[in-house]
Amino acid sequence: MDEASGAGKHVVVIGGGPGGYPAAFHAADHGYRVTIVNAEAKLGGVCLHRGCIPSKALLHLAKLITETKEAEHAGVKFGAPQIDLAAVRQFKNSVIDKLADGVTQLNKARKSELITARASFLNSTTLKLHQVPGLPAPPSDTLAFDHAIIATGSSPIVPPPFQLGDSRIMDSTGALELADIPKKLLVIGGGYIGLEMGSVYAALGSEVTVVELLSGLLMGADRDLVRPLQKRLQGLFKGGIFLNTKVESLKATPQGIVAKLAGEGVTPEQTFDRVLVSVGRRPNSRDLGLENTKVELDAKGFVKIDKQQRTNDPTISAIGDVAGEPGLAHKATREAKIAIEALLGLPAEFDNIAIPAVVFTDPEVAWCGLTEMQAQAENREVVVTRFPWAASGRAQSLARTEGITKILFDPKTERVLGVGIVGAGAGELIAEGVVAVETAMVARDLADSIHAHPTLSETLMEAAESLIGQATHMYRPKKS
Amino acid sequence: MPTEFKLPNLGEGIKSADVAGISVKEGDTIEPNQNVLELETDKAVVELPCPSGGKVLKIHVKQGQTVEPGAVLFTLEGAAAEKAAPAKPAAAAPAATKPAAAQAAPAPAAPPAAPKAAAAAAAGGKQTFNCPNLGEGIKSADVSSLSVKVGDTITAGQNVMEVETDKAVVELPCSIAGEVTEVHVQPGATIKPGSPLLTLATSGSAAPAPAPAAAPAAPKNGAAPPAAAAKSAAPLAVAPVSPSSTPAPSPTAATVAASVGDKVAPAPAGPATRRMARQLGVNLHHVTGNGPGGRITMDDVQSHVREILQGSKTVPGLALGKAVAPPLPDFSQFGPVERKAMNRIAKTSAANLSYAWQTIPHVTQNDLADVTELEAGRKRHTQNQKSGAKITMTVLAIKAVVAALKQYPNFNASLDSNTEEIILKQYYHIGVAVDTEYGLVVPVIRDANHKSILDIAAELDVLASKARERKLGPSDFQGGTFTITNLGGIGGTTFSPIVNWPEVAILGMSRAKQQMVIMDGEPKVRLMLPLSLSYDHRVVNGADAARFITKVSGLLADPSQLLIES
Repeated sequence: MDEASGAGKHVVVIGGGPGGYPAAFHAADHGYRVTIVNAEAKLGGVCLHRGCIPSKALLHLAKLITETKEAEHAGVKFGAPQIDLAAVRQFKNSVIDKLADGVTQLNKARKSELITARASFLNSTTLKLHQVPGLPAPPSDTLAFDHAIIATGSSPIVPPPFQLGDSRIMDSTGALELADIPKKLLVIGGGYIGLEMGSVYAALGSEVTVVELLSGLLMGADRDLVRPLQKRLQGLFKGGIFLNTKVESLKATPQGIVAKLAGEGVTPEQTFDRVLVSVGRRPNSRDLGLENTKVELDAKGFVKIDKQQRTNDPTISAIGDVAGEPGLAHKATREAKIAIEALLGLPAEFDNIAIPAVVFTDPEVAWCGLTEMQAQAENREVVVTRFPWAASGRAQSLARTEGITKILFDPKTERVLGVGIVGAGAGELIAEGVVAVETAMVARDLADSIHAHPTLSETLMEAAESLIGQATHMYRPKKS
Repeated sequence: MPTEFKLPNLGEGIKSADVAGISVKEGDTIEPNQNVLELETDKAVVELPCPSGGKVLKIHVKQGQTVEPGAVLFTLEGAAAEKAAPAKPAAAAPAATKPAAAQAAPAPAAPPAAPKAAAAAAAGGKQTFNCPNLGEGIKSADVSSLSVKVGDTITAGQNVMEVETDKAVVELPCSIAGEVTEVHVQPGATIKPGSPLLTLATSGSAAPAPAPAAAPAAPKNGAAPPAAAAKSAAPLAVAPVSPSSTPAPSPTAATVAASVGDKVAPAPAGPATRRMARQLGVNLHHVTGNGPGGRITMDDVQSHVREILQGSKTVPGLALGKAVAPPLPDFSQFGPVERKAMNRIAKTSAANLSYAWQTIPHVTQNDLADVTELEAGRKRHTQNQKSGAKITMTVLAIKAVVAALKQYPNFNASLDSNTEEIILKQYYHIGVAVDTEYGLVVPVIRDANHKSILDIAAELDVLASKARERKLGPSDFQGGTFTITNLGGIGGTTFSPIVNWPEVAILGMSRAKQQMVIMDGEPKVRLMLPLSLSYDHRVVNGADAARFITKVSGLLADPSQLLIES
């Protein structure tokens, strides 16, 4: 389609995650000579090996377990699930392996070279390759490039007071290994990772306690979307959800990890079998030798980039988690394409309006574009319509009516500015919202498009209808 | 007298609700029908308005608490016994639940502006009536007349003044009842939402603002409120409300402008369209979208570019030459580069020059003026000069130009292309281009025809030093009728100056040089000054230009003639 070509120039991509490998593929597809330097044996990065994919495999099982329990209300009774943890791990790993092998095949098909090594910059045109312990030595000590793409991702933060060197204190990686099913699990941090992994362990039988320092769960999401989830999790997490609560200390004892907690209504000292620390992630921008280049970092350690993913060094671009928030695989993949197209001189630019955020809990929470909180903070006038799933035939038939679909509109043009969904399958439904926001659809575009019945997607249509259909009373002016 | 606000019936089959949010706190003063709680029923999340206004003394519920109809929610002080509208928030929430219906119902005539109508500070018996929200996109209004004065007693909802927004003249009702003790504005004053307008003494039991609540108690099926009700209850909904049954704010010029200026809002176009716009160097905010809601399609971008190329459309960015500039290559791939922001002078002159260059058909006429004698005289003067400003060749040229302008008035003119008229100016204000370290500026010598050479020299001296210190005021730049730009101090032979629009001609001077000239059959060494006259060929024809420059040359060559004509 586009004629631009890299004409054999050498592009080196550092990192083989959902930013790195699409960048490599896109570059190879446009005539560049491509090398991926990946610090682990297989491609796929955190997303595939220690993040999105394994957690979703486990959440799938968790959902099966809760659904079989709930089927009882509809007259179908299952026995108590028997969990073969080794087989669960095997399932999860088989999912990873299948996908990782697929990516490796695709890489080979594109004749892009894969070097297993840790890379650091010697200067703006050369990398030093370091052997990764336990993996074969790289074919050479250095690697010259015409253009490098930093796609090194991010790592979980474990605050120093929690670093006790005890394997019972886990980050997301440890939690996904599923070493055992702890009787009592403490989840520190009420963000999406904590809630997703908490849900997995709770379904498998752990008594989960969530402690969040801030006043709410999933602080980036609108409260009305979090509420139905929180309600359900309060039932699922038998240990309770404690907001405005601080973990003052963790202590490893033979009986378990003793946590000192400070907050309203929380037992101040409790012993847990395992602790999951999920308080955030930091960019992997250290030890890259960036001081030998003109690349600049911001105060949080993210690589500074322009709209075309270029760093301050003309021969180096950066994409994905290392290049700024939000740390989401699909953002990285989009940035990968932009970085390569910018190299080719094509008019690509990260001008995206909607980056979908999906929390794969049950119910799922998903949103994109403008949120109500953001609109309020920016003092933007919006009209919000909400469609409660209680009025959806499909939701009723699933016996899951707690969902809400809401749309934020521009009051003047009726343009869709943001979409928020909580409910079963929200993560799939949000795609329509993304297209609506990104392509500047207006209410009638959604309302007048036929949505299959009975599906949950109708809730988007109905939410749009309530802006235009019943003019006098089917909308709610935004209070400011 | 404190009253209790209890949870009303929430609708058929709804036995309880959870408090999802509390939007007021103890001590707040609320308006009748102001939303105070967000309730979550098993059907929907709804907002609960409190039918009466007053000061919130106590809030009896907490977030997350489950409440049943009849439960005491708030204790209010000074609450009007508003039984007229027992709010039924979720009354209309059967299966086809459109929660918005419920929220909109209780206060149909009160758009968002209403609750804010009086940010009343309930201190003692005095309350201040502040300017309410004036409607979407309206930032200020002018007071056109006052209908109350100090000492008047008014009822809530009474119109107290007439204000003029950029959309309309509207009556402004005061949401507070009481005696006017102070009027803070005069006719002609510009007010903004939040500006204090009146101070009122309120009697203790005075019911604050029955007005909005006086609206139909329970509108059926969201029937449009009568326009009259809308007008009195919704202080300044201005244009949007009255004629239409749709309370959705209608798109008006003001709101459109507001959103275009809003840098937060991305242009309404899909990714493919945006990419195309980038490729063509089009600023999407300048493109008219023909899709629904003003959405810009790829066709819109193409026709926008076509119109610009055909000259039937100009856009703001065009003056800077940006409109159709293709994307720049990445220069850093060829070597190190530095990006430097243009300062304001540079940006302004870039825009002006670019406009002039693109719209004026330029012709440049060159000539050589024999300034041997003039320069000799000038030197004699400056050598003997003890004090005062130096007489420069520019100063003398101003005099020569003024004389030529008198003879050829078309050069002292502007073109009105809209009316297709030539505007001949009967004054002679000569601009002189001054090079400063901040950029090019053109201060103007006013009425140069009435000033002596010494006067002009002195004034030019002052203007030039003001320019270099960046101290020129706007009036120093305005009103020029003709411009002189002298590069003689630097060098060069000839050049093509760009006409300083809306003027129609400019005289460029280069460096005077001694040249061999044949005079009366004899070779002579003469000091020759190159002149370059650029002009707007729509206003000035070539023959006149040749006559004009010959005239200027002649005056510079013959000091006595210059003396006579100046």
